[in-house]
Amino acid sequence: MELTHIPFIKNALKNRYPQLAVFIVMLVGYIFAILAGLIGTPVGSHNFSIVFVWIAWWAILILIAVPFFGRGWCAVCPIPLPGEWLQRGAILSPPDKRPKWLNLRVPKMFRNIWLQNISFLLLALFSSVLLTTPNITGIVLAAMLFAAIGLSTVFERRAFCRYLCPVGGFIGLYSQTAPIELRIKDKQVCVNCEGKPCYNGSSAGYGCPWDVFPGGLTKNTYCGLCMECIRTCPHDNIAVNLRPFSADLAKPTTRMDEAFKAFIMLGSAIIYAGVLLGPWGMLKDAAYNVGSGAWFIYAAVFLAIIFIVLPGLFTLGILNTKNTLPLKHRFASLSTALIPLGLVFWVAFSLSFVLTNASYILAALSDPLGLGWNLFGTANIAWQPMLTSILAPAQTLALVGGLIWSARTAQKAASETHTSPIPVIIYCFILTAVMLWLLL
Amino acid sequence: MKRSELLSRLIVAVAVIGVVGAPLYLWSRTPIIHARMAENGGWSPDVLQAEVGKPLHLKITSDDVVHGFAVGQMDMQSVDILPGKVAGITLTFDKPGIYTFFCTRWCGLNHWRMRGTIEVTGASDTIPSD
Repeated sequence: MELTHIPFIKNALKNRYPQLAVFIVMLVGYIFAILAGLIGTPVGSHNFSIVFVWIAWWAILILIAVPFFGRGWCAVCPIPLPGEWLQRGAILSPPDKRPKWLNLRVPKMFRNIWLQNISFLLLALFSSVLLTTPNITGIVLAAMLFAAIGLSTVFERRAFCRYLCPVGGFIGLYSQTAPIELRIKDKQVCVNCEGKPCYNGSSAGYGCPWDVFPGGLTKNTYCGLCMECIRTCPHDNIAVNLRPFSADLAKPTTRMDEAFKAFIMLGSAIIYAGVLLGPWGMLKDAAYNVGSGAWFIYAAVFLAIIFIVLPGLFTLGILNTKNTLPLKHRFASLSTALIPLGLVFWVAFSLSFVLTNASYILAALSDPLGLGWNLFGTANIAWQPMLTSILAPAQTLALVGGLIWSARTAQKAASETHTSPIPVIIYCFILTAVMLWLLL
Repeated sequence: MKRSELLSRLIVAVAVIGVVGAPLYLWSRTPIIHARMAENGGWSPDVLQAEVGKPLHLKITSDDVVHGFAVGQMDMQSVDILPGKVAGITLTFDKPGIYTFFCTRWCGLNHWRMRGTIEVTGASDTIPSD
């Protein structure tokens, strides 16, 4: 179903003002989160930065935005805005004269998501400190903003979003499961289109900030839903469609960076469930005491699980499959089945701490800087876990549903690569059992 | 430059300056006493000034665990200082001198060292009589 058939939606997407209004609100919120992290109370559970970024934003992102809107968050994310405005020399339509930044193309060796994998892992290894220490959160948020500005002045388009953002990598991976997509209507129109303004820009708008030629879009992974191509296409050939869930997964990836992203996300969800929600105090101490001997062991085990144990077991599983395709190709293709599984692992894990800690949101809202305010009369609301009675059933339902979803995806990927899906399904079953054990 | 572009820049600039400036201004105008375990610094600041007869309004927060606040030489109930919460306390002194305030909760190994002073100046007779 084409959403852009509806005039209200199409006009709202083409017009720059609604988007700008959302951008300004987001940018203000983001800067405030940085400040609150730096000058607010150092008590994480009462600091606006911690509560709004790691509880409220994370809940919205992983429970709503990614599963239902794919890269919907990227469409309103404030991080690239200051850099992009500098790069373009304008906030709205293209100016007559563009500023002379370096505007370099990102070197070919970095044109993949390995840097995003590394940046995510870096944050993941320090996550126990990052998620609980407001000034560290403030510094990381500020660093991302300044990194995006710096890269915008050196490289063309949104180099930070496309190649470095630790969040953008997994949003892209999981956006393939979302029931929304931006695609062209008629390929022949793009073939015959002169100048390809959707990629190169025109007076109507900018060339794709995500360095994607919309005419070649077959999956959501790298389309940031910025809607610039809807503005620049002179043939009205771009559509935003509703579609079945996980439509993109019918076309398995062949890229190792994307395959490893699936393992990184899957492994991180399992490790987080053990470290942050499990009863093992020693593990929590090791994860929290950054720089200590225990932390180095924790980091080594973390990386070994993600880069050796999980991919190793997966490879062993598919090794015996009789097939003429190279193992690397099969590994990448069949790892597509881990995408829905990883997403529901994160949903199940996030439900735990979001429902447990959501009551902090109201308190932080009333006293965001920890100055003793009570703006909305909610500053003294006591901590109270929410909906605890439905937590375990909801997590079980999500994990079992995810397993079925992954099994279906494995079947499709296996038929594409002419292999048996059974080893992948068994692999997913074992990991789901581990996750159930950790969470319940 | 088009008027719409100029207006957009203005709005963005005002929004950014506002969101940076307003919290910083309010933060700098709200003195808060921070309580930390003695090994991490204790009371900050740990020396306060007051005048006889003039109410001293204090805002105190804890940066780590539950602390308590009380002043020696005064007949007052101890006030709990909860992590991340701000407790408001008003004190009025009727005599000049150096008063000691201290933590009333067993907050850590060096709990007994968690003390500060209030230097009260002025003459005793500045208190209005009933």
